[in-house]
Amino acid sequence: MRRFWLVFLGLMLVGFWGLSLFGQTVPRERTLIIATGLQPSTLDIGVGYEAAAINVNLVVYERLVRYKPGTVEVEPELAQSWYVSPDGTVWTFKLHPGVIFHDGTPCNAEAVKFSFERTITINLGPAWMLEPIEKIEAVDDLTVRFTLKRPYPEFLQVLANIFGTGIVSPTAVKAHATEDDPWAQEWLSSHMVGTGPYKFVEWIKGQHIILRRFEDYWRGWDGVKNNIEQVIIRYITEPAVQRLLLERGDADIAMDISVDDWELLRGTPGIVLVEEPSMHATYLRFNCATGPTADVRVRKAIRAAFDYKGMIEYVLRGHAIQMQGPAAIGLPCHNGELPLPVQDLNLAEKLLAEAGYPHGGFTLEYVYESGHEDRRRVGELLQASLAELGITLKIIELPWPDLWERVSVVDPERAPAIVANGWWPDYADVINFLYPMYHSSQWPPVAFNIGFYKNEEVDKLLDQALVETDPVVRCELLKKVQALIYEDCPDIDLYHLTTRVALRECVKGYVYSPIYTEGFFLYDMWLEMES
Amino acid sequence: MWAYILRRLSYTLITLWGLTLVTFVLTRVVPGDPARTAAGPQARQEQVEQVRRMYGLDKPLWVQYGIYMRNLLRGDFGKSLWSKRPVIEDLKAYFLPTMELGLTASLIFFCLGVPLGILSAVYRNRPLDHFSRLFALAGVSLPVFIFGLVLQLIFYKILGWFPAGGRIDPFLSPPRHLTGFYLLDSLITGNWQALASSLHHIFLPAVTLAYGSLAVVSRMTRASLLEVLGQDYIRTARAKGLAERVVLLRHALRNAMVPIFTITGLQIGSLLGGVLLVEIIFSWPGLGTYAYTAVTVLDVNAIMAITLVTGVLYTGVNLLVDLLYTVVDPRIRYR
Repeated sequence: MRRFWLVFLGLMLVGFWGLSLFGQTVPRERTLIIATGLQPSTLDIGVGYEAAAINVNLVVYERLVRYKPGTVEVEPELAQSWYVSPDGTVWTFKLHPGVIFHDGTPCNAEAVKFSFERTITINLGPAWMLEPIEKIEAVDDLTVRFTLKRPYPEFLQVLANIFGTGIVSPTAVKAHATEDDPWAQEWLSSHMVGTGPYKFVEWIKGQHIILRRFEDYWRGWDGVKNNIEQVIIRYITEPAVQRLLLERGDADIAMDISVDDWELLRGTPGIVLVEEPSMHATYLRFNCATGPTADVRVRKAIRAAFDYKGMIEYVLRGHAIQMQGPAAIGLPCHNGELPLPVQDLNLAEKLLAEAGYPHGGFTLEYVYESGHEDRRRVGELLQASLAELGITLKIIELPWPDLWERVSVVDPERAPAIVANGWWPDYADVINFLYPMYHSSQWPPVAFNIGFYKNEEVDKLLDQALVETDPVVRCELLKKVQALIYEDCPDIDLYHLTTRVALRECVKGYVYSPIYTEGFFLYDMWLEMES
Repeated sequence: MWAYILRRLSYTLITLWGLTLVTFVLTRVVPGDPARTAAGPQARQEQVEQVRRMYGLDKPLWVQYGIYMRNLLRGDFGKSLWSKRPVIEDLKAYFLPTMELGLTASLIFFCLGVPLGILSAVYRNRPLDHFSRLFALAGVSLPVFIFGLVLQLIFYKILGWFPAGGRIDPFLSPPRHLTGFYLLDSLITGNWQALASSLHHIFLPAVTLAYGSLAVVSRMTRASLLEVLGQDYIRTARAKGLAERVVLLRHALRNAMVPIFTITGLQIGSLLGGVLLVEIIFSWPGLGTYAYTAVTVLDVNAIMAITLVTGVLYTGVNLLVDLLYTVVDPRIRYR
């Protein structure tokens, strides 16, 4: 009897194992599988404010306007056309007729008004960009009017940004609202109801999000090359595993291939590597208010001492480009005439001597966020350069909450001398870099001028640019601001990392978007797979 | 016996209460502002203040603790600052997969480790014993992530027998939620395709996680059994002419079980440590990554909940092991 059970158990085990080999038999043509390590914390379009949510937001939700694929130009999306009053404070948008949400209800002016009011009232994450909005009116079924508190020249750019501006179905929100949660935040944190070409199917946390083609999409599916019926976004934390999945064809797109694997994948048949410089900027921000770095000559000396070539070649192994000035290269109104700093130790010594430190002789603290290997190595590179000038650099690694507590202080005396800091544009306008980081009203803890930089001329020009509606004049103002900042050297403008996306050859139509960095314009994409 | 269990349970409650106090204080005194991280990297100061009010982080510490404990007694872990969802929802999503993986791994290491230990004790200093020693040595010295990556390379990349990660084939719908364990749920609902796929997916991570403990348990079984086999009563049993199988399994193994249970309990506890790495390698949607994120973004409510649940698990396993002693050794009595 006992032997029978043993045999039975053994057979069961072998049977299960054998059966399990046939576990994966579902066909996968017409399915696009994206492997990424970044899972969003929330899917709520009015709350989420992180790169991880870009890929789903871009295809499930639509905005009034969007960035044209591959560019920073704004083009219509849900809005057919728009009109702005001469004083720049009233914006009127005409919507496309016949647009419906994934729940079947119509997308009209009321829905647009509702979505914006939702984001503004919740007042989290992306809401700050909508602060100048005074009121929103649905003039008629397809016309919506925004009245602003002041002219907001970058309003269109803001509307095209991916966070907080997607139009969500009011019917779905109201159906899931409760007394404690009038905007259905809890439900929308793990559901999505938009108008985009793909609708949300499920999110199994930690595993995947599944999207399916929305057959009633307003642009229609006739005459397009798109044959992707389903999209699976798989959350694969380990980059090496993403590479394995890509190589075996279990993923079509991998978002986080490591630098080493990238070199190994180069030239692999069937795999296409796309690498583009991003607008993500990395800086070394000086404490401009206290200590040796309060002296502009010391700051400039450090800028001259840094090894830029070594940074790109050795620290970043070619996967970055050097920044030019304090705003991202490629943005409208970026000042392309600023010099690219180069290492010049003689100049550095001269500047230090002028500042009264002919042999260095002081110690600076360099703080960076843990997990950013590149910033650690930049610190080491700087440490080596500064040692030649007799300056000691103390490198301190801190987790993000601790780092923020160190730098977001009212008293500059408590802030470190140098902080490695990253910044990325929410929308395509240089003011998104310049105002929060260099206007003196933005000193901590208010915002991000963590170097305590203050130049009255810069403040004045930024204040003008904030309300200047003539784009040419505004551009001039902003370019001048960049030149002034470069001259004051409140930071070393280091590099833009590249975005690397590895695709299987069968994936067609992919275009990198400099603002929607992690996103895909899936409607314009298709698969060429043999079935 | 029941009085003992009750007493142990009340001690457990006190321990857990202490745990809430320590964790609460620790999460509040570490540097960093939870409201700032929750509001997002580019949030303005007034938004941060709004978040602080929303989560009650503006109140004095003892008031916060009072509110927390009151809610906890109602089974409410609060809202996650990171995902903005109730923590209990996130725990359901991430804790059950970890439990499933941990229990499967425990089953594997116990069910294979003990027989392997018995065999190497019986065939002491014979090739099987040497092999088992080598196997155990590799098990305790191979880091979990290297072993996992090697298994993945062989069985996924080269042979293609097993998937690289995940809990179930993304093309399949998960089984209907009953227990939250895919293996059990698909078995109960008779969803054979899901069962096959779940087994297929859990195999490599469970083996990776189990290997180290398997080695320890098998060595412990061998040592403990050998000690018992040298006792007088074993000689007596053999002299009485009992079959070797009876001597081994009834007389020797039963007496050798107490230290084996002790080590098994400890190993189950230590599995929780290794599970994070295994989850990352095999993209297992478990508590590991969630806990890691919670700590890095200072999601105070999530950290509290994870610590509490892990605490309950540890103390539960400990209690279970203590009670099992009485089953294998009737001389042990708890009053």
